[in-house]
Amino acid sequence: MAFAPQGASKEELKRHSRHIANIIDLNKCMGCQTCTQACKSLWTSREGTEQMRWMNVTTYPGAGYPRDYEKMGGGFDEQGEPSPGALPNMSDVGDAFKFNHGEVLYGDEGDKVRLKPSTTLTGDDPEWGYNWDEDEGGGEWPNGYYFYLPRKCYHCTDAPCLDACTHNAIYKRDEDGIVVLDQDRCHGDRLCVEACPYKAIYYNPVTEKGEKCMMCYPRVEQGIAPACDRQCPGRTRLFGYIDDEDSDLYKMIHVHKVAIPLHPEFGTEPNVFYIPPFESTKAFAEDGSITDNGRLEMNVLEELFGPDVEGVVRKLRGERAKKQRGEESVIMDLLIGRNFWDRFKGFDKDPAEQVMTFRPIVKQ
Amino acid sequence: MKVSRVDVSDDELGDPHGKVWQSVASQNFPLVPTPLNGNPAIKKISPFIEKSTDHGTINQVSVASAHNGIALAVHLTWAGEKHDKMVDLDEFVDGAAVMFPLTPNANAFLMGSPTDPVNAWYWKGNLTDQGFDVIAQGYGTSARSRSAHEPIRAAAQHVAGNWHLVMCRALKADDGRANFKPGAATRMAFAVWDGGNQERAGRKSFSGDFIKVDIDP
Repeated sequence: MAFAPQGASKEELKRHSRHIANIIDLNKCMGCQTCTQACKSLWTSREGTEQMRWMNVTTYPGAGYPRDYEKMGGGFDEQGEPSPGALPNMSDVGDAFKFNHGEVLYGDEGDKVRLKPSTTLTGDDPEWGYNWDEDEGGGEWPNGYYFYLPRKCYHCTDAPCLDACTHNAIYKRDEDGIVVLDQDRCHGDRLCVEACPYKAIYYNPVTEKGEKCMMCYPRVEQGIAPACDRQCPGRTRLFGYIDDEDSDLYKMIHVHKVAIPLHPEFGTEPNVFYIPPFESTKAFAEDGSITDNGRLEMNVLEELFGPDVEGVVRKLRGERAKKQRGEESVIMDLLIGRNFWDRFKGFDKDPAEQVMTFRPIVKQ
Repeated sequence: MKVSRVDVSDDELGDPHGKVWQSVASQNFPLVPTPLNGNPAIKKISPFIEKSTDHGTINQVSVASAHNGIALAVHLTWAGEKHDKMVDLDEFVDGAAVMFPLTPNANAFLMGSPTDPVNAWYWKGNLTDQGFDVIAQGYGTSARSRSAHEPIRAAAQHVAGNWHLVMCRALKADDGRANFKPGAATRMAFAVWDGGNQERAGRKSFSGDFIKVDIDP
């Protein structure tokens, strides 16, 4: 549905003709935060949005972003029943630290006072912030391990945020399934934040309304991939229509089945998929010798991706072994992504050559 | 209940501790949690809010109402802690509303319908001097009135564990909002939100069906 009347059913609000999707290859993500910064500078530098990271990258194992979002609830339970969760606070969403730049740089105190952050709400020394636990990871010394987990709104097919909103402020766009939040209809009740198990909706305390990733739809409408995807220097990203059978994205999700959703047990049918990390640094044995086993245990991946991940990892290792033997592997070629533009089929236009316009929404 | 005719200025009418309110009779109304859990009508609008069970902590409101021939004021008093700032992102403020039917058949339980809408005066605790005229055509459709008019004048004070709130606006409105005629009758319903209990949207206490209110000539 493009823009439904306020009394429209949830089915109408979820209806869409096509759906876009993302794939993120966790084997390639190096945690550089270029995606985070691309999003932040484009969308969340306004007053009240400073603490938001619609696109974020955290270390796994770790608390994630917002902090401990996996323990906050939301989504649907095993019976498919709605399960409202908790709301993150300013510290959980990473805060937007203030720094004493004036004092250090212009107060003639630079040789006595050190640059230090303080929290937005109290001015105290921060005890948590965005990526506070970066690179800590898991495992026991000397077999510590971690990988990076980039996250954004999953533009779920069965979006619980949309179900939760009593004012029908949230709907899926007909042409691409992107989940958007109408600022005019939003009352700032944050029922959507409670409902989202990924905690991908943020509260703007200045406008007193919710805000979220809208998959850069003004770019998408003009054939340009979202900023986070296009700016990724690691070729971790694919973006396109999930039903485009000629696309690399379609092949990885539907043909080779090596791209899988995060936390499928939340029951929301997310549309951002991941290539799971299928290899990790070899573990040390007790005697200090190096074994053939990776440090990353399968149960860690199953916590994130469910039981299907084991088969995907086995398949990816098998495909890599083929390449190592000098044989062909279509899957490995797709993952390597020699042609950057193949990864954004239909959305490969250069933003610098387009005139960006917001298409006005016709209200009913 | 009635709306008493008083000869005071708009300013005194809009002061929750104005002398005039000592002479206007007030009436207590019990409040109950809105029936959300297990309510099929609510489930259609939000299957998540339908799961709510711990809302509705404020169980009584005292109401007085008066007009001076130009403006109508409603004075609400209820016991509860003060939450008038959203300091953190997971905090909510207190609120209150008075609802009026816009047609004889309008229903208070579901906040009207497309054919029988309602008008509410809504105040939330972090607004210092104004409230909003809200129009609703059913639960989940409440929206601020889009016609150009003066906002609801509101003044609230929290004293000794009680909120004292006055909301006030012109008797006459010919733009789809409630219109009040001295000598006639109107109907009112009341709702209170306890921000400390994370109450907002449908999570609130309310007085149930509309109550008939005579307006002094």
